[in-house]
Amino acid sequence: MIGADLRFGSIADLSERLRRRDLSPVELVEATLERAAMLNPRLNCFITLLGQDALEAARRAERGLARSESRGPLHGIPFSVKDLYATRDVRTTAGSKVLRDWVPDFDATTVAQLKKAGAVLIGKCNTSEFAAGPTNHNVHYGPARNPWDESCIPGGSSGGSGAAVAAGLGVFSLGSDTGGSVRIPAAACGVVGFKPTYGRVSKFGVSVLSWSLDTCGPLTRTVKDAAIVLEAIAGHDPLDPTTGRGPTERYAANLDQHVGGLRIGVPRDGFWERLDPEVETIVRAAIDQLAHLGAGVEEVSIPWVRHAFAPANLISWVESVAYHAQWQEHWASDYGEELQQRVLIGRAISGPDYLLAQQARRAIVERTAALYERFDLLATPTCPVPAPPVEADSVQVGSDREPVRSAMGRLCRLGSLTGFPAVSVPCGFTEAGLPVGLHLMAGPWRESTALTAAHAYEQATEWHLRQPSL
Amino acid sequence: MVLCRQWEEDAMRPNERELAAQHLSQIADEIGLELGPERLERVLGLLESTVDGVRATTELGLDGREPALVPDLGPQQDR
Repeated sequence: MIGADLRFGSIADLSERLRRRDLSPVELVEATLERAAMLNPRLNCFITLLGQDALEAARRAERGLARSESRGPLHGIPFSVKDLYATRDVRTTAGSKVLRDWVPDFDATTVAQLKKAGAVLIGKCNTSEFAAGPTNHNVHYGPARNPWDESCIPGGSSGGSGAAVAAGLGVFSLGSDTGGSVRIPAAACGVVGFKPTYGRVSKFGVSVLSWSLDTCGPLTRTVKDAAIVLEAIAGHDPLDPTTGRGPTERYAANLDQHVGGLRIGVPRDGFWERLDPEVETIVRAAIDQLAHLGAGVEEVSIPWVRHAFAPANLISWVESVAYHAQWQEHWASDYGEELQQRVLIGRAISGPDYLLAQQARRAIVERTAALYERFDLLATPTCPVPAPPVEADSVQVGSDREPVRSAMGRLCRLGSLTGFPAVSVPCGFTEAGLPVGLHLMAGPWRESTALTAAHAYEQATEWHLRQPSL
Repeated sequence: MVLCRQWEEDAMRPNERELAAQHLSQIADEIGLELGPERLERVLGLLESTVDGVRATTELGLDGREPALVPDLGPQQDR
């Protein structure tokens, strides 16, 4: 049986043990697959688990280490990807019936980058159908479940990834974030979720939810691990014209900078009015901790934040229609109702309304970017509530009830619409034992700022060391 | 090129709502989605509140702005 130090080890720790050869990639991958096979029937976090292919990749990694040919910190590390990522010779469903039998003959750029870095793919994670929805309900493959309380959702749409990482089934996972889909499951599952700037990481080979909003990012157990993975996947990709040509950074090496002097804005508007009281207490305490570490914390008014939600939704719906047009005509009945409804609404929206939403996006990007001349980061809760029960349609938020679908994602929309980077880092647990996430949003291309502050917070606390009893 | 539409009013107008309901029913038929009256009303409500929300963004002063078809993230990005 795999020990807790391996199940919940970080990339940094496991990589050192692999390099010293007191642990082999085959041992690590075998033990991870065994545990995944045991727990997946309960958590349903994988749509496809790899067996022999993963072990063969682990053997190759082991042979490389035996020849002292380490490819870096990811060499021999088991990982998973949301089943939106194309994987060569491995079924890629996007959580859909439409693509249930699709076996790509290529890897998504990010998957290829991780394999090149020596990481070992062990599985394809459950997701909302085509990533549409913040709950990870899936009519075709069933819901993924939260390792902290299996009666609750893991958040979505990268819920399988969040659940897998929280449960120690692989060291990290790649998710995708259009309206919060990396950050929401990270908060709900008590792991780190990082959404890079739009264009920082290639989306080539990743099924589209919304071209102009989609980003790809890691879910990990520590901030340093998120930085290590980001370093491996960031940069221009000729196959994805939306990726930037600007320089990337050594994100992991830069983490240990002092946060003293960082200016953190705490938005007054839009983030604290409709909030679970326990979540508010926990997140405010986390912001106090950042102040204690030397950051300057100041309240700030962002009146335009209330305008972010509608354009983000409208843009995402319309762009989904364009993507799904290729299948709708012949396979409409293969879609789940949730996605059908999304396509239905998207088709009913007029061109001028779509362009108006894009004009609003420009105005909101400009105003928010200007804010980052005064502040390095904005700090808010990631989600207004802890993970709701799987069967809940609505959730109590303070004194009101709110649909789960709107509640889970609304605090992430500003980061989604602007395309700016953001991280969710575990910052506490409710009395019921459910995790809560602190959301730190940085200015465009300032991934390092978000990671550095999140790392400093994490190192000053012990929330990331808690493990679910499974 | 000025792409900003000057709305006479922010909210979806009554005749526009009626047309949207007809349009939704027609599309639902095309894609084989069962839309009973209750669900139609729910979907219409979601459409209406979102469109209204988008039209309310004119408060931000959008006259003459080019739409950001991908986020314009400044000079560090040379696309």
